[in-house]
Amino acid sequence: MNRFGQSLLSGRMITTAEVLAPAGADPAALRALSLSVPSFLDAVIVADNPDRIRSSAFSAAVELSRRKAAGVILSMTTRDRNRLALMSDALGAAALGVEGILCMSGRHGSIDICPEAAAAGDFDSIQLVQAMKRMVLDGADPKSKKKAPALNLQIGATVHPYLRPLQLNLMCVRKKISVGADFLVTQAVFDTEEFESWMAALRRRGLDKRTAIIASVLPLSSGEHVRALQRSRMYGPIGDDIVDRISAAPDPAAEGLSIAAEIANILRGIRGVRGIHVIGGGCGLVPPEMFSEKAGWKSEDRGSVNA
Amino acid sequence: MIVASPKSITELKSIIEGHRKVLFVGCGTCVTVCLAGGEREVSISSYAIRMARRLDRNPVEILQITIERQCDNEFLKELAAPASEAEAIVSFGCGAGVQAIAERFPGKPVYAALNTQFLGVLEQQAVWTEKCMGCGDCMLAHFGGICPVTRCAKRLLNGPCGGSTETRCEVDPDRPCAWQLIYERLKSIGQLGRLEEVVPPKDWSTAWYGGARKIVRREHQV
Repeated sequence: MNRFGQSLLSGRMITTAEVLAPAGADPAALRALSLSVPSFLDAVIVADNPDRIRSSAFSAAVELSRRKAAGVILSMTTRDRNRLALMSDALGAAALGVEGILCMSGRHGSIDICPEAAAAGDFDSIQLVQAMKRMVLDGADPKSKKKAPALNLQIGATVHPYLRPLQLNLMCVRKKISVGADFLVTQAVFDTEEFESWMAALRRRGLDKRTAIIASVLPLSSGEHVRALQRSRMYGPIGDDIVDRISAAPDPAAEGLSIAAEIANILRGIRGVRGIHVIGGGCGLVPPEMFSEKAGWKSEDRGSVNA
Repeated sequence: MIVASPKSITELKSIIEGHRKVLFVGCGTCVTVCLAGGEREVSISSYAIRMARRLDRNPVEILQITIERQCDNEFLKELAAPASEAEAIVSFGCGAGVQAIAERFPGKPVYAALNTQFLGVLEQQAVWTEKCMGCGDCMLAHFGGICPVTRCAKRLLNGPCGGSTETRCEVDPDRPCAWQLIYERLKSIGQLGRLEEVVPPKDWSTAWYGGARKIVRREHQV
């Protein structure tokens, strides 16, 4: 089992961070990004063109894997690749040291990404998890009579604490677990009370024991940033108290880091949460100050999960 | 029905710019019902193009005819005489109608006056919505009669995405989330259990991806 798999099974609270590949083809930018990964992270999750056309997540993931600073999870959206491309990229990624695949449908291309593009939409994210798990368990070529070696990949999916009605939400979570998701990463959490009630619903059904729930935080950078996210509802509700704090702060970006650290601390205390994922909010990698004591980040929090 | 919308007069005028005598052909079926390419629309467009060309001091003669169905060879026979008089034909049919006329008149330029949009229904007066993309392997039984292949912007077959809200799709605030509709519908017909089934990847080989499709039903051939 790879390092990230061991982290998932370790029982301690894990920490992951999002990486955005550079928009251009400058090899120095990619190298600098890979050198900036803090060594205490359990893994980085490389996003798959979440906002625009960037240098490929695959290439960034491979470069990061070579540096071995942290485990590398490659995000793959069903938006841009059909099953041929998804499967072959996963095989290549596994061969080159990537430790996991995060399966998602991806933000729709028509929303400020590339409205003119045709979407693949061949698999959906649950079908992708299922296909990846089969590949992991049965080997690369299910049509081959020879038993191929199994793949060393952890397979994850995204979940959405604020999706309602709850019955529909839980159906999605159950399906992702039933097809074998090793870990589930949530949308960025701002409303911790609502998140807690969702986690309670998962716990009542024992779903938190069947996979690793990794809750996400996102450091806000400015009043404009938070208002845009509030309008888009991309991450569920963001309270006016957060908007007011960011808007009134002399250094909004530093305040954003503090708020994210506060939310992370609350999330760590919620039963069933197995890790924290820090979304970059448009940065290549969240600034290192995020993980500083000044921001309120509890880097020493490596104790056992509050299960 | 097939739903289409008219090209702008500016675009249509530019398409037939080089011709001086043109036949405008309406279609009496789907595009008449969706107010895009029937006798009335042919008449209005002819008038507008004639006026515009006169203002350009480049007059055009336009002949008009509307036939029952452009996609049926039987009705295309009616076009033989007027087509022989015109330099070019403008079809106000759907994409199938345009191509049927082009095949019927190999030596004649044939142009489309409409943008063919989708298979849909009349939702309310002058509002049409898409319901079917003709994938060739209908899955409506799984989804309470609401098609996520067509109506979910991401074609998700196993539930909504994170952008779904109870009132709308992430992509368009005017469009309901197909998965919220499926959920409500399955609940109302007592089939919510279907939501727990993992729907396997769709076999797209019956859809367009292998190229243009053909159906032969020998039992109906004479």
